[in-house]
Amino acid sequence: MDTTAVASKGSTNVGSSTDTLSTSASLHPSMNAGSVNEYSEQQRHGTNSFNGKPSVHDSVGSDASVSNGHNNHNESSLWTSGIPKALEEATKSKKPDSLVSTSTSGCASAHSVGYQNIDNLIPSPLPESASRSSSQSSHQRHSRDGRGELGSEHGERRSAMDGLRDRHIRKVRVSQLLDLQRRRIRPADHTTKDRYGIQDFNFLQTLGTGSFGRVHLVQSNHNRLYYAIKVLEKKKIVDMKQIEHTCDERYILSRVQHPFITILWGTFQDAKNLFMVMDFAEGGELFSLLRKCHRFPEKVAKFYAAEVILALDYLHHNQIVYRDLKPENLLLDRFGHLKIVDFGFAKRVSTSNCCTLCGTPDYLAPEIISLKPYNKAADWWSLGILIFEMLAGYPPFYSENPMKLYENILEGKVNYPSYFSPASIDLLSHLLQRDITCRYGNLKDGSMDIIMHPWFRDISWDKILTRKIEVPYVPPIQAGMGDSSQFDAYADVATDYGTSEDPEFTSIFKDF
Amino acid sequence: MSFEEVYEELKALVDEQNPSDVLQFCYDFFGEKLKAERSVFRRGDTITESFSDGDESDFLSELNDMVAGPEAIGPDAKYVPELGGLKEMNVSYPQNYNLLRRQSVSTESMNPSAFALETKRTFPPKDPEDLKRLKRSVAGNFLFKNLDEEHYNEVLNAMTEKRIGEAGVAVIVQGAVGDYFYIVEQGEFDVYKRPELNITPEEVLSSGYGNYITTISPGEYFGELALMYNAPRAASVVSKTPNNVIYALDRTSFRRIVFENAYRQRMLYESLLEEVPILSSLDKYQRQKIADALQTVVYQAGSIVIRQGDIGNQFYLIEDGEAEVVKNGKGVVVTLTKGDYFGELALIHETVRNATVQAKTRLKLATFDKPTFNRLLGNAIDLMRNQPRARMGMDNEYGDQSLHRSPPSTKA
Repeated sequence: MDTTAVASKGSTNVGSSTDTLSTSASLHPSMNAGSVNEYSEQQRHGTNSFNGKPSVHDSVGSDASVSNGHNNHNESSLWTSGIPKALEEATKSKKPDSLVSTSTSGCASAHSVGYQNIDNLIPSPLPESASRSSSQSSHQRHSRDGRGELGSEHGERRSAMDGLRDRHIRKVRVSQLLDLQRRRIRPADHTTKDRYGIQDFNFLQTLGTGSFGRVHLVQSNHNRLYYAIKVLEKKKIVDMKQIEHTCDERYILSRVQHPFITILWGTFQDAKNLFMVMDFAEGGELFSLLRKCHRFPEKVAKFYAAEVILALDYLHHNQIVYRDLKPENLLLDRFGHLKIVDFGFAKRVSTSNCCTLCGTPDYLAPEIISLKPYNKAADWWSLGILIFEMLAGYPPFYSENPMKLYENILEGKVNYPSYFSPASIDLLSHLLQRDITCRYGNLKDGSMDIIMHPWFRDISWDKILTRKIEVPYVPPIQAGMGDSSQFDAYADVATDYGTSEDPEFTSIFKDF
Repeated sequence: MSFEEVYEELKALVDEQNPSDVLQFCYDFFGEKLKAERSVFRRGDTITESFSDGDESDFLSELNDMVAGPEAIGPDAKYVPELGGLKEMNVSYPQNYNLLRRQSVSTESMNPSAFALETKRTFPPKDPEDLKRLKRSVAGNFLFKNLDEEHYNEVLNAMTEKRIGEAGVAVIVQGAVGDYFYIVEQGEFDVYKRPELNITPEEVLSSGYGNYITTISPGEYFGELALMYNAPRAASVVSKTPNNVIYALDRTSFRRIVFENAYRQRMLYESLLEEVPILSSLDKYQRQKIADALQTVVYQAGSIVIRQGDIGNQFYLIEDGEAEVVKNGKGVVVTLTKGDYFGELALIHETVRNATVQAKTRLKLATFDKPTFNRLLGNAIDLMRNQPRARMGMDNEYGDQSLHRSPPSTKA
């Protein structure tokens, strides 16, 4: 009698928990609408821009194939082949309803295709029957345990169990989500070469400068939209022995496709320079915002960290290390979402470890400094530095003298300011962990250790990925007008762009 | 809480802190109050809270809280209109902290698998006395800390001797490219620095070295950042005395030696791990994780690595040297050499060591333990446990649970 009563109570609870799932499921159609709207901007870039050049079509087709191709579990295979095969199988296995939104827009943006699939999958992270029976049995167990106890205690125990189960469901949902986002990648034969030329753009002011060149704001002469072009001086690249890094940058950017990673539309070269056409992220650098705010409240830092984590997870699962995480390389788009830019040090690491020292001194992991071959774990260290810097306003290790700085990093002693919450300190102590066999992100559960960390408990990861969450800060810009007010002013220099005399190093940079 | 109480509290705070922007201060104060009260209210129904998967409305309300959150109260933060919902918050920056954009640094890209194919460059060996002196010079530097004996000598042998006959010669000039690291053997050098940032070496040479900083004496070194990457020299170093002798080491040679060896060691680890039957259920990626986690330990001849009867959780691979396996009452049962391993069953079972392993010569071992294994690979242990080979390992020819010899093919 007692048992049945509690069991039935249990089952209503199951009902309510599936409710939670279905609520989020019912949210999704509207989310889709939102995401299609949001991305329609990009669709226009893709379809209308640079007239007649079918730039996005190819990537969309294969994108659908990759995100649908459940057989495509092997990460390394993404880099090699299997794309046409995956495409074939995907078309077979495609559910008609999942194509609805894609067909309405004719050429749907890559993003909405991908997330349509995510939405279809999310409501059932566990097989329907499995999730029901497991939760039911947990309640039955409960009812036995709980017999004869006082109501209030009973309630507490039940909520603890529910909390555990809830965490499990959440974990399954998140891992499913990650699984999907990781498989979205552009095909290997996706070419960026010669799609555009210097005559297609009107070069405007400088948005930033680097060791090998500068980034310009440009306006397309065809669709009048604004883009950013990174110009690299070939001779400098060769002199500074960065050929491999530059070629890797082009290759990796031409393959990746992620909401928080900048899009490479195409590349070209003239006699002296390389050009990379990318999105113009109008909101400026996260660096500038951070320095203006001095530091971010936890909620804000958490939001930006979450977007970075998804991007890093995506890169790592496609066997790429990023190696230069810092607020200077995180741009805000017009909506206030992040875009990771500058893949100058990104590298494919399918088999080997890295041994080139690169990055930014404040963000270098101890294993890089102590001349050990290193791997993806170094990016998670940098994430720790980034979160610390967002929360504190300055990085955890600092010295004017670089050698002293490196000694500090190796020593690994972090002073947490008093306003850091215990949860953030706990997470940071696991990221700023000198021993890579203890560092979060590098353990058996990979990035899940970070994603499921209590500090991110109030983050809804699917909403982060679909960008359906209110951003903490919307850049005060006039969108689509080529507004570069969020960028610092740089002195313009005379440029020699477009020269065709004495072409240099064309064989080295033949893919540009 | 009555209105009077709230008012009194606010008044006291305003009197105490005397905020410049009174309206903002009051706004923050009430926001804080409201939030505190709501959070008490919310605590009442934790059950629904625990069900919410980061409910959007919750997240939004908390985002709104940021505007007037506890962190943003009073003297801690300042309202800046351009920052939208965000605020300028108080930070005590570290002394001399540079708030400017940071430049990336990089060494030349290097591919160790390519130069493993090339013949190894050799350098003429230096006099042992010289080596000892050089080694003492760099002992405290972290760049040399991870080098073991033979690589240390290799690096130091790669240093070239330079003689500087006169005083007043600049060895390095501020702002110039940094390619070399130097150790002073004989003579003294002065260090000077110009306060300007990004000064060119031409300017330094034409208009003076700047302020005197310090003097470098024999046995000391300078320019060590050049071993890490090419950064412009931060100061100038000028000979103070005549008849100077310095040793120079360039970054490329240094890094090449270090990574060539690291690469060889890594290849050795991977091939050794492949030969361990108990690990054969792991894939290449998992074995790489173990190779990453291996720690080198060195035992001097005669010291004991594991002792019969002890409970152990460490696994060992012999990188170099010889070890004797001793069983109580039986004496030495076998000698293990490079490529052999022992203690691998400690990774799966709590085992009592069935023999003692003692270093016969200087013994270099690579080791990792069960907790590390669990952290990195987790349930891969279950796979291993169910393997017939793992069970076979328990009845090997020595009737010993924790000793195993690899097939002869692995012996280089």
